[in-house]
Amino acid sequence: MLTKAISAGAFLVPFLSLVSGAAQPGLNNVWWGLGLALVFLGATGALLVKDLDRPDRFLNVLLRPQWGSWLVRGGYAISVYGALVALNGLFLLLNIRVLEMALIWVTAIAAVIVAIYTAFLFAQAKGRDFWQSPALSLHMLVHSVMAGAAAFGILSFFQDAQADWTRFLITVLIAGLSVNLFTIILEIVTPHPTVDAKAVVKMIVKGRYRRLFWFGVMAFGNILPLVLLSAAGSEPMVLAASGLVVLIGIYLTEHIWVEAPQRIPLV
Amino acid sequence: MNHKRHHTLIEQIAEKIGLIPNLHQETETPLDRLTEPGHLTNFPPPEKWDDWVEYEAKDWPRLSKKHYTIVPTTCFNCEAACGLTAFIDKETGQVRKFEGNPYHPASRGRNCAKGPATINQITDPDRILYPMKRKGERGEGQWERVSWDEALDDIAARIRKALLEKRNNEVVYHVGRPGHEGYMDRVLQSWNVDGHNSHTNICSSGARFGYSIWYGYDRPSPDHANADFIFLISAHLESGHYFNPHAQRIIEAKMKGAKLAVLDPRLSNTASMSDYWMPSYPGTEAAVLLAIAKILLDEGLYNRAYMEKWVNWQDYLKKMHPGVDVTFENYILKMQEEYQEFTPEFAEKESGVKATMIVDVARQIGKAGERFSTHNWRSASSGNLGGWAVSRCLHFLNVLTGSVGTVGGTSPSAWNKIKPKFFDTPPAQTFWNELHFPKEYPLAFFEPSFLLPHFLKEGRGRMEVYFTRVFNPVWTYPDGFTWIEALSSEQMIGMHIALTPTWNETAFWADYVLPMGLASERHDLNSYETHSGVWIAFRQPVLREAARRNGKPVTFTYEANPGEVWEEDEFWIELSWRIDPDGSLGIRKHFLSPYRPGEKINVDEYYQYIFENIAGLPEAARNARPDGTRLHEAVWRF
Repeated sequence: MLTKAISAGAFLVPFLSLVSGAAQPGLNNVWWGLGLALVFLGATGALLVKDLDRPDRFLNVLLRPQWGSWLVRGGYAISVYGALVALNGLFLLLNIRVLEMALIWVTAIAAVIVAIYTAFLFAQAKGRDFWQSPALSLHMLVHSVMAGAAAFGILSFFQDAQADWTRFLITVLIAGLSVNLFTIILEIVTPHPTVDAKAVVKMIVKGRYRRLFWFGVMAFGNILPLVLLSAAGSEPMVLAASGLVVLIGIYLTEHIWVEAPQRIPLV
Repeated sequence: MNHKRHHTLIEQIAEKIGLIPNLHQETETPLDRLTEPGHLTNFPPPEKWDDWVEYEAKDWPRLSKKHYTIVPTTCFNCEAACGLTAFIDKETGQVRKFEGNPYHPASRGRNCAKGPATINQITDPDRILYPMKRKGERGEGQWERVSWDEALDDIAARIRKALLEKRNNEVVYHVGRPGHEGYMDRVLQSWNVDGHNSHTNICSSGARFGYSIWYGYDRPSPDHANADFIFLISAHLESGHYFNPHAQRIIEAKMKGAKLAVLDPRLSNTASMSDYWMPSYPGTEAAVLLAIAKILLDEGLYNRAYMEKWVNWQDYLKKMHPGVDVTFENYILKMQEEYQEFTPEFAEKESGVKATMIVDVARQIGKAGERFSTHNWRSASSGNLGGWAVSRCLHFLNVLTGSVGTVGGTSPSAWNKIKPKFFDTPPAQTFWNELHFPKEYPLAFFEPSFLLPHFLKEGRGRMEVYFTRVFNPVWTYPDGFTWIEALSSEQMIGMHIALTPTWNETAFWADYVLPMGLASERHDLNSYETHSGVWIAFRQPVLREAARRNGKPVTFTYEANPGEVWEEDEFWIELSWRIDPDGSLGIRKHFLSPYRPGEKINVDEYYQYIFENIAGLPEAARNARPDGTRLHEAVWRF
């Protein structure tokens, strides 16, 4: 999920800067974005195949499709996104300007689907009450944008970046972290309708995940980068370190969000 | 409902270009469907058993056909003998798998896990495939392979010598799982030895005694399928005699609205399916049962017509209450007095089962009346001192409700069982073996076999030849080490022969370990009181039958079985001939063919005679096979 978030975010962050007009990412960063998107999408695909019980049969998922399943829809979303990112690269390389904006918009929509389809896949696991939350897709979209900005933040340490681009990254990260904290707190304090979902919240807040959650996710993964970026985000070193911390924070959050609900016995 | 799966364009293209296996290929001659899509067929139809063709699962996605010959037999992994069908690969001649036999009247094609698991047993890499004789001291664990001829000659000579010297009581056959009908009693009688010992006294004799003193039959035959109320002591859905045929029928009855009460301290699978779980403290079952009896008596829920006719209430009044008028009303009054202490509250205190539940169950039983089926076998009856009283008190409830021998009630075992007629019946033995039935235990119900090694140690007798057959007392009896002491002493036991399909702790202390067949490797006759109905089933060595179908019949079963695994039926015929080579002991004449005068009987003739003499069977077989197939051939096949 982290690699997927980086892949989608690597396209979405330059896209946002372009459409909002907040900053110019520059050709260099656009290439980096496309490259990161493809590399991390490849990594996502490899990890997904490896995670199957029978990796040798992964083609069956795509080629004998059960269209009702978000596993299949997600598989196609990843494939289509990959193709679109590659097409963007081709347009850029050959300097084709026809339908350029349309392509960018379509790719951005594909990136959003790649970022959030897992929420729908999880929701199809009807026995896992905690995954039935409607906030799950928002949670994943925010992670994706944060991950993309964090990756560019780390990248900016190794190259000269425009000030407005760096500012844009800091803004996106601070906004992302704030929304992220808000959704996490919402997930925890909203009364859940079922016993199993309540049990998961208890497990995260007071149970076996409490240290990982409070220290790893909340303090280290969210509040620390929020403070660092607010105080001295324009320092390339601080931005890069915050980016790294954000990525670790996302990894820890996803680890808990994936694992904890599955610890509830189904019978 | 449409059962056709949509075959997408993506899938079609991917299959065409070979990205994924092609699951939609056509074969030249596809297998015929047995039914329309959407309908299921559970079993291959019998007319196709000789050459049953199905697609080979292991060759997926290739559609390759596998040819089987299907041979029926019965399971040997408990006494119920449920029906199995063996799928014999025509190419390799090996059994590939076992499934249920849909035509078995008791199991009806539904088996427990132990049946199909026979395949694990016959292919067990550690199984004994050849007769083994010990090397070195007994129990040293050293063995050498011998031929069946050597083993038979050696054992026969020992028995012959003992019989010639009138040491008939030194020849003993000790059985764990019988699995046949009367075969061995006939053999022992023909040798004139009182040599039968069983495991029953550590098993079911407690319950049997309780039943026997009611009506002379030592087992119940509950008609669960037609009952309105079913009362079980312990877990008869998953354990005990005939649990698989019983479980099907108990659930059938429940689906028709019957209620189930289970007296079991454990929340067993059976208890979990019950309407009334009555977790009594172990050993307090009788208190609960008598409290139910009291309610039936006090609330007039008994069956007056039945009791007036079948209970010796007049004798009871005359003997126990001489001054009282001999009327049924007085009898009930006296019975109420007799059981007045067994109040539901008393039973609750004793057993922990709530008094209110006892009252509720008693009234349900009274309402069910003649449709009240019950079962008790081992558990409480064998696990407690005086456990026989549990089955006695349970059957008391059947008597009070008049549910004895009724539809949906509980019948005597023998009502639902066939006793085969043998081609020859030797006279009764002229010996009494006090190692089995010692005179100081005149009321022993079945042999007090747990005392056998102690008797040997006391010097009450010795055994020259001791057969253990599917019997492992070193492991299953209390006091296994005393068994080891006895088994390891050549003074106490001259020769120990273990007849067994598998290695076991007792076989370790044998002089000969003789491998005997598993379910699919032996002949036996089965008939049990699994439900309201009389049936007979035939266990047979399936590879032998396959060889016969193939036109290559064998003389002895071990020629068809894996290695030289044999079966007891043929072993005893051969052994008996060798004990009496010239006929002078009068044994040989009991093993002559009824069809070929003067010649040794073979196992086919043995069963042919029995089948020909079962009322109704020849006609049934003729109807099943109007093409004129001989009777026993029809039995082999179906």
